[in-house]
Amino acid sequence: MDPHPNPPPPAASPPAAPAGSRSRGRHWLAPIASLRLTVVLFLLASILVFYGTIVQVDLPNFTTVDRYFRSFIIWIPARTLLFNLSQANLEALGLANFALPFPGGWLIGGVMMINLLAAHAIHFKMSWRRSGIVVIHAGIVLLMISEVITGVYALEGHMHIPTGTSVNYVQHNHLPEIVFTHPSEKKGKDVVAVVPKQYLHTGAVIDDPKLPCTLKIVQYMSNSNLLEILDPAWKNPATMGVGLDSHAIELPEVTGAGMAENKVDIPSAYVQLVERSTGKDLGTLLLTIYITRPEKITIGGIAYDVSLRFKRSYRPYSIFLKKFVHDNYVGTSKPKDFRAFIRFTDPTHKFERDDIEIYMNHPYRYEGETFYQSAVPEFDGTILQVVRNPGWTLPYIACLVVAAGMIVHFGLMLTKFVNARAKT
Amino acid sequence: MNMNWSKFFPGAVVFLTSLYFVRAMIPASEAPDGFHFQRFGRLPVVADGRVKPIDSFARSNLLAVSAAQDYREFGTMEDFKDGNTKTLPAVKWFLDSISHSEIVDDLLGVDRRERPVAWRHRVLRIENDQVLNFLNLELRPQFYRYSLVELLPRWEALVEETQRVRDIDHTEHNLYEAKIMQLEKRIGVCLGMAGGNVPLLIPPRNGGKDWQSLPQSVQSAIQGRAPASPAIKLWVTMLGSYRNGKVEAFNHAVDEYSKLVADLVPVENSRMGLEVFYNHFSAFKHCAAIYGFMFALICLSWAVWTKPLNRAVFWTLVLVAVVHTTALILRMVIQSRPPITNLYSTAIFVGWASIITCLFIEYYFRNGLALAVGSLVGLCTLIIAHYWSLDGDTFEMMQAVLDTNFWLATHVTSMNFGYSATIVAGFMGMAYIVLGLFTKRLANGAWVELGKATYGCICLAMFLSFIGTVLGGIWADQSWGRFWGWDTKENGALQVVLWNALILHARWAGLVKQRGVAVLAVFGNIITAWSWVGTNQLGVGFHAYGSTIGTLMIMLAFDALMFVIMLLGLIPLRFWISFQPQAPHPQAPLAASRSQAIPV
Repeated sequence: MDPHPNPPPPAASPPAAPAGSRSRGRHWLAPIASLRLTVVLFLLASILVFYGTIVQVDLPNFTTVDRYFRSFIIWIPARTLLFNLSQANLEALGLANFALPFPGGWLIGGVMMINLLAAHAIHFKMSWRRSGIVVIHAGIVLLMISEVITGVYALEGHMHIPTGTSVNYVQHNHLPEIVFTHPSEKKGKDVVAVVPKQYLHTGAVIDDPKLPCTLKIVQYMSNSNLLEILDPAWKNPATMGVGLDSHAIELPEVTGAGMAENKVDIPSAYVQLVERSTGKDLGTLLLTIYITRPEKITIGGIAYDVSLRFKRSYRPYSIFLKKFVHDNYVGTSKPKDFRAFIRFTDPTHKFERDDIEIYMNHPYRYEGETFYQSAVPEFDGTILQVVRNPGWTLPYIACLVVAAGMIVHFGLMLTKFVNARAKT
Repeated sequence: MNMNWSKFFPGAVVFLTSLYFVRAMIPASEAPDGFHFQRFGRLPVVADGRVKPIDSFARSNLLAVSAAQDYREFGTMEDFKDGNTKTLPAVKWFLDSISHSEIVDDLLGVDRRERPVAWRHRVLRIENDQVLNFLNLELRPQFYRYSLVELLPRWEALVEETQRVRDIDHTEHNLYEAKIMQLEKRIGVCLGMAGGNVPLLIPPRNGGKDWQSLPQSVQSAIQGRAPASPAIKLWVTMLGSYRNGKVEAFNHAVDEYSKLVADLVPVENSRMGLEVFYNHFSAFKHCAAIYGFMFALICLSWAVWTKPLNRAVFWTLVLVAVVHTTALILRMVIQSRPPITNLYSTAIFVGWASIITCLFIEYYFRNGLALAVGSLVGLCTLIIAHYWSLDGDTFEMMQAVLDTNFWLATHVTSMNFGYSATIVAGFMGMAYIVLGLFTKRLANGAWVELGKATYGCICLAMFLSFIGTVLGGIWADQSWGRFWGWDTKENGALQVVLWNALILHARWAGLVKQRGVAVLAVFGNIITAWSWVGTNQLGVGFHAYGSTIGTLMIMLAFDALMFVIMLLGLIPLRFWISFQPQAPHPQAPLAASRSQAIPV
């Protein structure tokens, strides 16, 4: 701490010192290195974080992250600006459609980074007194870089593994696709053709040489429910497969209101198959994520499996779930512990381990991927979350760096203060 | 003579305070020929996912119903006004309820239409006059409690009204409707106590883990699925003899049962005594009382007798801090956990960290200001803690993801220490503004010391909240694979860090001086309240584990008070009494012009 009643010009801090001797010949970087700019940026960041918090009453977390924190300009709606004011009150105020533009996370973070680097570029001078500050800021830069790497490169997926079975792919819950495979698909090379999400909408016609036939999407539902057909007079679009017994109805897409963290849209589609050469109708199928067993069809004498499923990324390894244990607190149904006992096999690296346990706060890491116990599924088995984040170690390093810097800096201040006290 | 007085006064205050604590620790003795409620209260049962003494179960339920841990028995309201009442333990209320439960009726073969004695206990707290009007009951000032029997004439109307209110979305409830829902919940607890299904009474045998309720255990014995536990018979004896007023048989059965549980669940049973002591001591209640008293004394010291009062308060607060620490350690031992496991314990911990910080600051500055701040923060946090304890068992079990001692000990502890340092800095800012503006307390250089202490606290807060936030990120990376997910609680923590960083950089930039730091530090209180409590109220995200309506209202009132103090802080320094000409403020004109340039 500072023994002077008037805090001296910020010799102990990097940026422009208005009354300092060094600032006589103003550096060309001085305006962007200004400490006042830093303060303004902190204020803007604080406001952004605040609104990025209360908007989560209306938006799911991942949408908020994209719109508020991983963007340059954001539009904050009046409802959020006025602390989640009800729609009726907004209309009364005539603000129902108002939104305020505000700098987003990338912009504020970017300018902060430039401000910080410029300040250090101008004022860099190695001394004990400043060493702590330099180290702290180096750690902060590292932390900001790690958030950029996560925002740009990190991938998330899930593995759904029923007990006693082995799974060798990761699925991506926001990416449904229609897939044609050879029967009894084992690996990625068994896949004949894939129709990705962007082609899936009602009325689309998909004609690609890789597909054994032309596809017409009769109806596509982003989120749906599957019901048994009770009314025989109902005009069923499906002419074969599970669609003869069940029908899909459309549901609104999942929004973030409430505790929707784990909810996922479950799409379904009615798809007509048309022979490419003759234009002959081969029938209409109901494809849905609810049914994991593929539809079996034969086109031109070749048998295919067709399904709508979440995008799969095949992996060289496979995970076998030996058992899944799920303990509750005594006398309640409040879960205390989830634990998956797995066997991990990777023939390409001749790697096999039989004794792996994945449970809360204890993930397993392999070749740049991390496996977490994610949720207790409705089926007998487990759901593992799989994350590939090339920057995952950076926060650990950054934390240590900043902590060390703060201990040095505040420690120096404190010893100075205590010594000054001792003398008086 | 006067000289001697001021010498002995501090010691006398400390001595009297320690007597006060010792008296609170010693349990009242029970008449040997009466029911042994204390021994009975020590018996282990299972509720809320853990083994606990009956005493804890009874107290936390009575607290939920009555907002008190014991209840009073008296004849008419006239007797109450004359102070002609008898205070009885929660355990008795529990016994009066459960000894009339259906299963006990069946086992004893008695008429099941007889109303439980407990229905006549005035324990239901109702203070809302609209609710009372609806029930045709009169307001009972200073008591506010009613019995279930008194509700019976309007029972059906109440059931209908509850149904009507329940159909309204809870976010649109007005105060009356919220109180009706609260009453329903309280009645539910009372009826549940007489249901016999909670708590689980029958301990497992052969080292198992499955406790059973009395009805379950009887059922499986009748169906021959399991041999009857010897515990069943003793429970029936205890409850039956209690119901029939047979003191000796009851006490004998309690002794027998104590031996049985010591045999069946020796490990759990051995912990019961400590928890009963903790419950009885109610250390935090007594600490709160002393904090309040010390705050009054320190304010008095600014008018008269400054030195002896200061010394007395300092050493008494050291004593209270020791008691506060001991009680915190008792909680940790009982739970076998680091200090913070739920919202309640954050308040206890923040209060503790604040008083320790303030005692250190006082040790260096010795001007009494840190004592005022410390005792006030201690009092406020313990009152908040009491308010949160009304939700039920304060030793409740945690969500599976929180079940890790390492991260609870590191992330949660440093985060809450960071909150406490931010709050101490904020209260020092308040002291700077209020004392500087309205008193001469800050003249003669005291303002310099207070400013330094505030600055030091902000540095500490910056350090702890940053470390805490990043550790939280690492924990998140460990448990669900994301270092930072912009989750609401994470954002709250980040805001505390950002705000402390803002204050420090604004000071280093020369944008603000001591007064400006004080004003900004007061806003830090609003940010901390938001991060600590407000983000839980949003009801979204991974951390939504503590949310009550009243808390939000208190938070908003607190925010409003902080805004008023900040506005006061913006009054030009020439109007501040501490900085009047006789004690020139060396930088008054400069600081005034500067701080108006702050973008706040």
